[in-house]
Amino acid sequence: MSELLKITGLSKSFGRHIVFSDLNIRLSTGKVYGLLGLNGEGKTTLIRILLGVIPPDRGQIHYKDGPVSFRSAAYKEEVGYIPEDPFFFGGMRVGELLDFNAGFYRRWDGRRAEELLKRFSLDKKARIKTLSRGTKLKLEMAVALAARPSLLVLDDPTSGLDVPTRHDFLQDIIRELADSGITILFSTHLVHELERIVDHLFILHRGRLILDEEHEAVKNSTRRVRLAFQGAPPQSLGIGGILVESRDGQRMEVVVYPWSDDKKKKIEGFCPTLMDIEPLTLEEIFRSFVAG
Amino acid sequence: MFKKMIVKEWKEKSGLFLFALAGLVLFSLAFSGYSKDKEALDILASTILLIFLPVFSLMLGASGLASEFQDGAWAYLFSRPVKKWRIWLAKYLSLLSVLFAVVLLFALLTRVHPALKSASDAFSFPLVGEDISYGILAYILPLLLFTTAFSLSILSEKTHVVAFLAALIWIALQVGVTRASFPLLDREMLSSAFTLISLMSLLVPLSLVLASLMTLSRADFSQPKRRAWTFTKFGGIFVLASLGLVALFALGTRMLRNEPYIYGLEVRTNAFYFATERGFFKFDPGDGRTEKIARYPSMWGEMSLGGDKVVFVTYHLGGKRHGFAELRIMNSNGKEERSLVGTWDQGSPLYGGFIYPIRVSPQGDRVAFIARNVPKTTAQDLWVINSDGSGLKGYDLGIQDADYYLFISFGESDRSLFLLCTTKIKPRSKDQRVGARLLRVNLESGQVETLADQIRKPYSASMPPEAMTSEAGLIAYIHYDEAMSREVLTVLDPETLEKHQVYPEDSVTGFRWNRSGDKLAFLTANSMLGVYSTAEGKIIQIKELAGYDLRWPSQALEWASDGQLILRRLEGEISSICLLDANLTEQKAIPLPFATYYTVQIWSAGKYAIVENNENYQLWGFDLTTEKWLRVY
Repeated sequence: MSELLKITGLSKSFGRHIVFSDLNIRLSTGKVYGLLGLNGEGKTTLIRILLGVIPPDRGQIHYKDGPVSFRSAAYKEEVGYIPEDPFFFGGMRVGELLDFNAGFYRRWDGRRAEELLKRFSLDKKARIKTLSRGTKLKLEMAVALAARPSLLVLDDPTSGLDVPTRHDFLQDIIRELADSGITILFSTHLVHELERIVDHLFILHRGRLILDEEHEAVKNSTRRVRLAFQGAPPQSLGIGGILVESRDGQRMEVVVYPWSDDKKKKIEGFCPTLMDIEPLTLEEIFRSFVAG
Repeated sequence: MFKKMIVKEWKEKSGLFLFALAGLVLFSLAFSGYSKDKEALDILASTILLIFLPVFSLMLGASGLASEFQDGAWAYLFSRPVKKWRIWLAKYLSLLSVLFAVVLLFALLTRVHPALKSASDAFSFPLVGEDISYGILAYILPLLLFTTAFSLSILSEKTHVVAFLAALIWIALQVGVTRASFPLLDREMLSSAFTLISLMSLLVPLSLVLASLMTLSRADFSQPKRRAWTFTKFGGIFVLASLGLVALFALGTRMLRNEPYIYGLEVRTNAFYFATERGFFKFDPGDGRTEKIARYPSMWGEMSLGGDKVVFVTYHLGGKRHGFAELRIMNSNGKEERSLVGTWDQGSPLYGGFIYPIRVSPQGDRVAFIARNVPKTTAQDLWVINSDGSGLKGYDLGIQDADYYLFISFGESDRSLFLLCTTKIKPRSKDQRVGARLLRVNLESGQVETLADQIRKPYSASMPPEAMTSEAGLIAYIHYDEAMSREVLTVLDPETLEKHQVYPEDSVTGFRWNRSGDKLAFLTANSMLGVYSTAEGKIIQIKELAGYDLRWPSQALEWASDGQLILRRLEGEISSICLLDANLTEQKAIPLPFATYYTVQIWSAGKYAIVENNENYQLWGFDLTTEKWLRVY
């Protein structure tokens, strides 16, 4: 799988507030990447830097073979962007927004735009400000896809949408796009939505990328271990990778990543009266990672 | 992309455009009842040109990038595959088209609407041919104001703040450059000031445009304060750089002139005085040395010598007395320089006056001067003051249509003053000419007499008025005799008021007294050179000239100290001065040490014949005894 985008040593701060420092991210063609983080952890900032909307303090971005900078424009031809609140030109009509964007992209596909309008049941004459949030999102999607992007970046697009719309959006469109070979970077704080579509996970927390792993691998190697002991639980289980630890009398619960048989054996060495090992949902995994 | 952007901007700004249009129509309707009242229409035209269009330009420009900040659309636009400066340019051109649609529609309105006819001149296109200042108001000023406000709109989404800031910058620019450039300026004051203001008016918007583009290509738009700071930083650097450029330009134009302009000259038997913008200088023909005798700079170099006194006018630059004239006096060696009278005192009858010309009496104990534009005492033009600063007295010359005065001399042991007065009367036909009047003012009684009129070439031929009088006190002038339709050289005895026509046979074009005042050389329209002797009361030599350069006749002739006459010759590009003996026969021709196309004036001081190179303001002296050229200045 070829490398599409590489970010190295990326840092950004707003005044004294360090948003993140020394981030390294690689995106490969055709995969769906989930960028997870709590609100205010710099997901939007990262995406804006990646799209050349704001400059980084330090660091390099490589798209395909070449480096791109804040001033580069050509690579954006291949990058579709769905902003968090993608509804700027309220006075425009749906058709006008498409026309307006057609002016920017050389790869603009008018026929595809028409098809997408039909598919999303969008009325060309409707004014953008009269559209519902879900419809506006579809409109932006149509705009982004009509430009035939190689990389589609979605910045928390589903927040504020109702559940059925979110579901449709994710199930139908994202998966379909991913199957057609478009690389997708999907940022969100509503993690469970990614459960079925995401291939690779990034977790951005306190200015660092604390997770950069395949979705499957994360799921397979994160475990919640419930333990009960005769007396008080031991001070330390003597294993690394404990994300969350809680105690309640003789009971103890830990979330461990990465999980391994070695760690299991070590815990067994403490002779727990109960040892319950279970996998976690993506949502739970995320919470565990950002709990510390 | 540009086309789409224009469509978008037109849709967004259509409200503003319609508002402007409605404003224009309402303006013109309000004045339609006054279609014959020129004053009302002028008010209408200037209201639109000076208030409406500038304010509209500022508001439109200030709204430039604001709309994109208000709803975060900048992030959307920046994520499109297009260079940021192209977005800037597209928006700029889009809004510019809105601005010029308003300007041109108004231009059209002035053609159609009878009430606005007087404003139509302003919008005539192309700009040349009509009054250009109106064209600037109609087209250039809106463009520059709009550009300034548009560039500044990167600072804030608050349109009114940006528009106000842009207006402030423009006001400061005009006031600041005007004030700051004044001390840099000299004789080309008005045109230089205009050049500097125009340069700054172009460079400041350009600097802000550059700063705006730099901000766009560097700043993080998600941080408004940082964005504003980046813009301020670059704007400051570029504006300072433009200021430096303009200052360099101003200095450069001064420096490029090899030597400062020579304003005024005074020649005495044993000294040659001249004023430049660097101060006053004295050339001593005895030792061939030039020395600076006064540190005060001269504006227009008004200077007069009498006895051992030099009186001059200086204008204050900067400080509380900025722009006010002052009359100063010093000994002819530059010592004991002091103020005689100033014009900055509000209580003084000379307050705010423009002093020109000045004249010091032969013994150097009295100074006469004309003070014009004195607001409170317009009746008194002529003033006399003792050289110790006492006894200031004003005279009402009673000439209503006086244009300017020129002093000739003091007479009757300083009891009277002779001066020329030109009038503002315009000739009624092409053939009619209005000459100057020769006046005598009795300095005791204040009585004014007109001794002669229809005097020609008092000044236009660059003849210094003091050259009209000989050291013996006789006054020579060229009088237009209507009966003969000829310009007749006339000599007047100021004591007896007796007039004598020297050479009525031909129109005289220029003349020159010798140092002792007993001989008067003259040139005529038919290229005759004559010499008149006052002792004998007749012409003692007259000869037809051939091959001499007689352009500007009053400058073409001079007496050398040994009684020879000096004339000019021009052959190809080489100018020479020629020495003629008492029989008007040429003795020798000396080529000038420089090439010039200009006519050069000749002066005589001691054993030197001095010429000025008008191209680089140098003075060269030819030593008639050693026959060598010497750089005097």
